Amino acid sequence: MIRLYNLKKVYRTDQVETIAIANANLRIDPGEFVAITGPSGSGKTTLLTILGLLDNPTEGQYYFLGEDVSKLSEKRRADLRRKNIGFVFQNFNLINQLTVYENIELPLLHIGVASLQRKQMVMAVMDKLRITTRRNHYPQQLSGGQQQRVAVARAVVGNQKLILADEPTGNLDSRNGEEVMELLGKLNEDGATVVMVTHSTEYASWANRIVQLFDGHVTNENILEGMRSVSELS
Amino acid sequence: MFRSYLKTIFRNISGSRVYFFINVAGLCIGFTIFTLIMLYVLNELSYDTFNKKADRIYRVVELQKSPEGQVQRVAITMPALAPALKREFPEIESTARFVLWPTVLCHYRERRFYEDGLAFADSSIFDIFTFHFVEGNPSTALNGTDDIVIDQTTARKYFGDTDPIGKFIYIDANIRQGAFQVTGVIRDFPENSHLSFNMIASIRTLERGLHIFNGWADNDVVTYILLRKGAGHDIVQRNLPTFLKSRLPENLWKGLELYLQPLEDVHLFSGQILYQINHNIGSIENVRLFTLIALFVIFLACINFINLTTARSAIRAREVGIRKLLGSYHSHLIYQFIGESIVVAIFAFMLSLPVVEAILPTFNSMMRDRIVVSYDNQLPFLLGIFLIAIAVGLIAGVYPAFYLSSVRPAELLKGRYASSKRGIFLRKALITLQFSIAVGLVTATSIIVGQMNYFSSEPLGFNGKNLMYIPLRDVQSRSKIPLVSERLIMDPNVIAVSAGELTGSGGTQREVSILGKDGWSRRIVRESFDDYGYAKTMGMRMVEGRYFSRDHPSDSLAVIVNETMIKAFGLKKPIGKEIQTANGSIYKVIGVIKDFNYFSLRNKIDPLVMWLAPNRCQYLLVRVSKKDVKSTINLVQKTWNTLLPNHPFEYGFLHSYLSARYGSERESEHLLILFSLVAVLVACLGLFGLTMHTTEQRIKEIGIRKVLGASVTDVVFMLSRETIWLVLTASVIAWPVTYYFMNRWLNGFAYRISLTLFPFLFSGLLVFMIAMLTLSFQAMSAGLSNPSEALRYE
Repeated sequence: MIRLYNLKKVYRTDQVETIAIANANLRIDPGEFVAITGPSGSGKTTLLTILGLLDNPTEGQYYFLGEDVSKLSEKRRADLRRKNIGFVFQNFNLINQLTVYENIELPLLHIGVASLQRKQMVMAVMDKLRITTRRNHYPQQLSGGQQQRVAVARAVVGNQKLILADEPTGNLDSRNGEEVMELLGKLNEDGATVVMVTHSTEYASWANRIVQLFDGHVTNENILEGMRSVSELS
Repeated sequence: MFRSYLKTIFRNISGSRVYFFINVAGLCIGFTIFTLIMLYVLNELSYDTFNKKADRIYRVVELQKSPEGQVQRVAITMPALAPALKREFPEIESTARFVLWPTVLCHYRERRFYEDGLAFADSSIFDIFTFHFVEGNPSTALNGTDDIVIDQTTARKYFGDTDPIGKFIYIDANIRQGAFQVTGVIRDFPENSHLSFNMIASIRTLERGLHIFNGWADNDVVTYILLRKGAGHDIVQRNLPTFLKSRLPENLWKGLELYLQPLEDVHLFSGQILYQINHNIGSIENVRLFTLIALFVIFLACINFINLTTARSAIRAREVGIRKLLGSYHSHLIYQFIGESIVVAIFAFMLSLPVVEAILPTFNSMMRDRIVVSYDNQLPFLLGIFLIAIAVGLIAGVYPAFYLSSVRPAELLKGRYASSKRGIFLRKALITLQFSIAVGLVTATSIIVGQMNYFSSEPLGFNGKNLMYIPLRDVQSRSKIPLVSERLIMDPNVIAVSAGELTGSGGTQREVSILGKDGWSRRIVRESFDDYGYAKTMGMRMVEGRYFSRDHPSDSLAVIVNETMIKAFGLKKPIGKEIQTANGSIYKVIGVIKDFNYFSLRNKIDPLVMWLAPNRCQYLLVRVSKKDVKSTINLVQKTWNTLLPNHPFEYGFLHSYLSARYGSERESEHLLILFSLVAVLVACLGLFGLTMHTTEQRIKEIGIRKVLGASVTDVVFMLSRETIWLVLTASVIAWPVTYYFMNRWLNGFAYRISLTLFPFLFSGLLVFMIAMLTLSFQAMSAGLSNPSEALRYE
């Protein structure tokens, strides 16, 4: 699904040149659950940004679903993004002016799903994530855990193949954090590829592979033998 | 998708009501002012356009150059000009002449009225101009001598519901006292016509009555020409000098030029032309000035919109980022934001409609009811303003749209979207521009007010207060001057009575010669026909010699001159000097009167000759005491009615007449005061919004500073320091520009104030104080707030 060859990302300000990612090579296959870890400033978020087609690399190649996407225009990237990628953030990033239902519906509007089908899809995902009763609430009226569930619902409502999560548990207490991890695991079991950035070794252990970053370099890739199965836990 | 955008638009609005209110209020004020001014401007521009052949009609204007190089333009031309032009130039399809007659007494049976809208004209006016005949035949209506066409209002006034055609109106028009037969009834002249008469009589009446009327010697008529289709007016214009040479003796064509003024220019471009018959004269300067102000106010409101929207972009950036993340195109977001500003603009426009409706009557009366502005049945106009509202929404929205939609979604992941540093420079530049406009308008206003006050305080050389004037319309009323005076002076409340010209009117002009050291020198001077006691009644002072007196029977061949006349002719010992008129009569100078303002403060005082001519006096002048003015007026009226029972009584007071002479300046003054206040208000609305936003943004900083010991004053100073600089910069930009334009405006007056520092400092200070007032409310509440509350936002 994802292939990175000698990927490099450099940020330039007036005089300073910062290498955020240096010569990263990475392969992620469909159905994987990958955790990206590393200390602050190691380039985790930059990597996720590039994987999520929010930014282009400075050098190197990025193949997404077999297509070289390293030099695509913003418009083409937007097209790929809306059909294939769902995002989950630490701070949820829901639109405050829209209700739960409307927030979840948003990606479907961008894809152009017909009204009736859209309704069915939103209802189905809300049901699956147990937030149906909150459908008319605004984000500010929900707890952190509930907001993150809405964010997850929004990420998967269009049956996106890739879920990118940036510290999805960062703003949540342990109970809610566990719950979100369970959700991600379940989605992975259902066939979605999940890539998650996290600080926490505990949550990283939910993945079946850990990619470690240090100073923009991929330093280690561990395939976790005793990968936890979601069905086992629940 | 569209619905989702619409939803965020409306929920955003309800989530930030104050900002929405500021945007809408600013734009609403902008549209209100814009609509009112456009109604006025379009009305001014519409003059004479209703004439179907307007593009082919020209007025012939005469340019007279004196040997000393003085130039004056007059709208009156020689009576023989029109027929000769038509004979000579194949390009000219038709010509027509108008003569506006002074007020006359008219009657039909027992119905008697003074009419000041009587004109004599050629029958060809009906071919050239567009008239709507209700009755009668335009092709024959003015063919005969003593034919008259009247408008519907006049028809009703004299004839009620009966058919006026064939009936006779009696007119006492000096040269032709007699009956005129009504041959046509036309619809009243539209308000936007520079020609406006109640009655039009055949010019043949005058040709018969005045033998000289067909000559080239005098200027009596206003001449219009109609060009043939496709004929260029420049060909006619080019050949006019040759034409004049061939027609006139050398002493007449020298210093004389003719030019063709397009009909559609007559209303707005005739400020410098004398002896016009326009029913009111517009000013292109006012049209331009007010259009500029309208654009300014809208522009100020747009700036508010741009500033507030970009300042608050950090709040919207999240939404933009999320939408982009979910696959929204950049272009869609641009549409969303432009759509949002268009929605706000349309909303403001809708709100401005009832406001305009409410203000319209006041606005009309401020414009001295001269303009009939109403937007009944003005769908195209409203549609036009609506389109402008959309355009304003578009213009105001474009920058914020590009600015906001440029948020990169990657920044969302990095949590950097809250930065709103971008655009701060632009925002400051725009606020400075706003305040420059505000300071400029306030400065201009205070200079105009200063000049107007100067007018009312400038010694005029006579006493205009408590001076009643009664027009003397005909020979009969003039013959009663001695009798009326005799009776009135008996009353203790009547201080003096005389007759003569009204100061401010400018009277008539003629050429006179005085024999000096170097032979005869000639000059055009103003003249005034007055009675005994005129100088005393008017409160004028003699500098040398004496005024006319009944004790000197030879005074009928004497003149009084003013100081300027002495200077103009360079007379050392004026008393006893002889003055010769064009027809050879000789008069002796018996006195020099102190210069008084005879025409207008816009013009320098001209040389003046005063003749003793009771039979040519235009007004009876009564100086009354301040006490019991009402009963004095009653007394004058009673006396008048007893002695002249067939003459309706009319009167006025000189000071009101004089202040009406500066009506167009007063009009501009009132509107400018109003508009500059509005401009300052709109600018302050924006400032209010921005300060509120800045205070919100800096609430944490304020909290920390307070914890560290900052006082309320420190906080207020911290928040207002920037504004002080902005207003100062704005003033420095506005002052020279305003100085340049106001100096030019003042140069249009012969008597003008000199520009001091005061209006400039005053306006800067005023705008600064208003800005500080706006600021201080929020700065104070921020300063007084509990720091722990501010820090809780963490």
